[in-house]
Amino acid sequence: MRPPAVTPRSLRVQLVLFNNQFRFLVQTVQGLIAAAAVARSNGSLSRIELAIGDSSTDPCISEEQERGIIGNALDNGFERAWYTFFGANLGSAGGSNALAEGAETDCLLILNPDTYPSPWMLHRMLSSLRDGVGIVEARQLPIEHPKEYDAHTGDVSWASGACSMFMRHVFEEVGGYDTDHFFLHCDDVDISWRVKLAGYRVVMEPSATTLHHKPINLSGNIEPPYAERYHGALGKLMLATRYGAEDVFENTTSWIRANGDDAQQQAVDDFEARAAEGRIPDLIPDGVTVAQFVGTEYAKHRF
Amino acid sequence: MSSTYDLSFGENTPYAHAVELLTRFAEPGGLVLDLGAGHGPLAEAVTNAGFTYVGFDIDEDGVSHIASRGFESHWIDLTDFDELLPRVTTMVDDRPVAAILALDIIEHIQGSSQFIGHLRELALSTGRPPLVVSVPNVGHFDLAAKLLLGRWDTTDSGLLDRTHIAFYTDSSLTSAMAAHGWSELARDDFGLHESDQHFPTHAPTLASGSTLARYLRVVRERADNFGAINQFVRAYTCGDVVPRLDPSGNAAPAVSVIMRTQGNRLELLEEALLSLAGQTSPDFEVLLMVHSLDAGVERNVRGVLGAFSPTFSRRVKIIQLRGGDRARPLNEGLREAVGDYIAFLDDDDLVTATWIETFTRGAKTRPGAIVRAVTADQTVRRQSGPPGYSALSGPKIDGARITFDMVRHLETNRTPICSFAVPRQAILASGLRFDETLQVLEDWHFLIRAALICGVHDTRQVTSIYRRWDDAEASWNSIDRDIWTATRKAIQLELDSEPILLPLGSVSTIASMIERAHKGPSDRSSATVKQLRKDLDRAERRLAQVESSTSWRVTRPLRGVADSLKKLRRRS
Repeated sequence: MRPPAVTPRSLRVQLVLFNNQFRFLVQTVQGLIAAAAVARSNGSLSRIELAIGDSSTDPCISEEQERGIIGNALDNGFERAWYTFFGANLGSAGGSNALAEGAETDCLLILNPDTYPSPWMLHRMLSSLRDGVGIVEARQLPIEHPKEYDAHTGDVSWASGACSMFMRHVFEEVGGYDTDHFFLHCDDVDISWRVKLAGYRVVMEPSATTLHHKPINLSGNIEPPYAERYHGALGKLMLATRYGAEDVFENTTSWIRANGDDAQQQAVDDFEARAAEGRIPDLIPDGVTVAQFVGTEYAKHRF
Repeated sequence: MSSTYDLSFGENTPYAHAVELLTRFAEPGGLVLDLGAGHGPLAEAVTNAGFTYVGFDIDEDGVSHIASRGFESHWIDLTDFDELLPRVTTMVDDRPVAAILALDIIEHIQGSSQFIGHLRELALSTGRPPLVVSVPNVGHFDLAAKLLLGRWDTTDSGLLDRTHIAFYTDSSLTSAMAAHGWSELARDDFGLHESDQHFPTHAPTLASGSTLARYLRVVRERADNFGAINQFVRAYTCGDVVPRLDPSGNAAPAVSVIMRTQGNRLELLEEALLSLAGQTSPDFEVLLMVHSLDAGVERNVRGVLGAFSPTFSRRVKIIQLRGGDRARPLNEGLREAVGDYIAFLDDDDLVTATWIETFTRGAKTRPGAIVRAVTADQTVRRQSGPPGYSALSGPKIDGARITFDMVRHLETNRTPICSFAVPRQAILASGLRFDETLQVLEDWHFLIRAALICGVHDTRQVTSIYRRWDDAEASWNSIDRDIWTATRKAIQLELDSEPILLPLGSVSTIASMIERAHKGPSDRSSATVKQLRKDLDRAERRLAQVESSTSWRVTRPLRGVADSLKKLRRRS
């Protein structure tokens, strides 16, 4: 069977930096350049631009490095490329929203700067943005995310913000990431569920891959740092509140109070303080139709 | 192989080997110019072979002695490089020259390398005759073994003739000759298992009965084929000048990655290459060994690689090879690799972004040791549709395999091929190769031999994912268990055939293993036997009472028990 015809689309690639090393950023951009060439030659990409935003306290690249990396992108097929120092830590959610402002491209790619995309990643993701798909996620290597997806349609509960491509109009229709309630984690789960509520599909494209630099510990797990444990716990309480999962909320808070580490305890304290100030999300009445709370996760996991 | 060193001409001497080469490559009838002829021990043999002998030497007695036997001879100072060419060509006049001999002379000349160059000029001026040289080998095992004892015993003649001022090994002679435009025609090196330097005969590094000497001999034999060569006897012709390579050159990458693929799982190859392209250290090359008869496969592989950023793809060399088994591409890769360390990756494995960096850091921490990281296992199943497989489990790490235990590795492999890097110098020095006759466990066989030489540095970093295919053609699944068992035993027997060097701490490891073996089931069984004997004694006493009783008939069944007990006692 012939693959469906691909419509060339324009794309803005967004990288939010936070104290990243320049040499790794260079590598990521080199990977994007190769991936853009493959997408162009396969007819899925019309034009591409690169938006880099820096959430570090001080710029994590020098002006010379900025010129080098932007020049490299412009010399190698990117129509536009720029670097912005935010002057504040906007988090992944805020940084991504800021970089998406004013975008006129068909699609937006949210990409972690500690990843290295496969040459076919952009083409395969762009090709998957059809049939009502609002977000497509790439498969991360060498440790792929364990959440289950439909082997035939790719439909998945949520798409990871490490490497997700949006139809821009969908991103804008749902108002982008919710920066009022999410900073680093669970922002991707929340926007995935809101995209679904807006009537779009969220899919995994397993043939689109990206290498994600995450150390594995001797137990075979990815060791979550403090920020991930804190924002992971806080994000979970926000999600449970917004999507009406009272049992999840109760179980989470009681478990953290009994067993949680410092980061998780702090997250519960902060949530309670924010609740008192009215800074927690409102319930979305039909949120339960899209939300999945499975054990401690937001999807059924394969392993 | 001879057992003595002899300066005179004889059947089994370096001189005889030289004459053999002479007759193979020189045109009979011409002059044979024997430079540094001494007393001309070859004159008769050369003449008998159909040549006209002309001896040259600085020793007037030698010159006279040759002349007295009816051969042409001339005085010459071979160290007077300005006079060498005009003087010899004058003597030769217009007569055809069949060959030049430089036997046991190069090592006596100050500026021996220059002298080799002048020999070429002489050859070019006299019709390009072949050159036959004979040079002592200071790479002989005996000299190495004695240096380990702090001994360098010069003698009146032989390997360490006290008048020698230049010293050659196979590689330095080969390099010197090539650098002066001599192209080797043939070699007929003269071997002596025990050279004139084989003394004191009972020295532990020399004596054939000593374990240390046997071990050292294995080390020497693996380094090259010249540990038992006494004298290099070689024929050359004028060829191209080959510049010497700088042996200390450091342009090589830190790591050469030898990657096997049959090109029939391109989606997996794509992922494996991606995991290399995204490495945090760029200091590596990839030798992508395409093991396939099909030219189309190589094209496909090239197509996959061509899509990657040139910053990565230019560091990848695709080498197609046909024939051979699983180990062939690894060995071909070893021949091509130039990195300081060599690592291995199959096209269905994955590495983390710090795989190379972990190896290079490990090599800095413990230079020259094998650097070993940790591999996580992940079970995957083939399925239709992209990406063609599905992970069934998360990465799993066997705690017993986090660090390398040499003794336990002698029993079975606990280190996947993607989790270690071997210093290339160790491979060069020991001639290490994968055994292409093995159907399985070729990686274990290689690792063990390398580890016994280099030792292992554990990084305790998880840097690779070994995918276990639960349903497909992985060798573990597709090859009969009997072959694995038989191969393992064969490898162990091979290891038994040589002394081995165990790492620090091995004595305690072995002792505690033996202790555990003793304490374990055997102690329990001896306690059981003791208890059994007690029970038997008690039962027999009781039996005696029963048998002696007047009412024994009513206790007849017990006698059956007694018989059984007696049998048990015999068995215990």
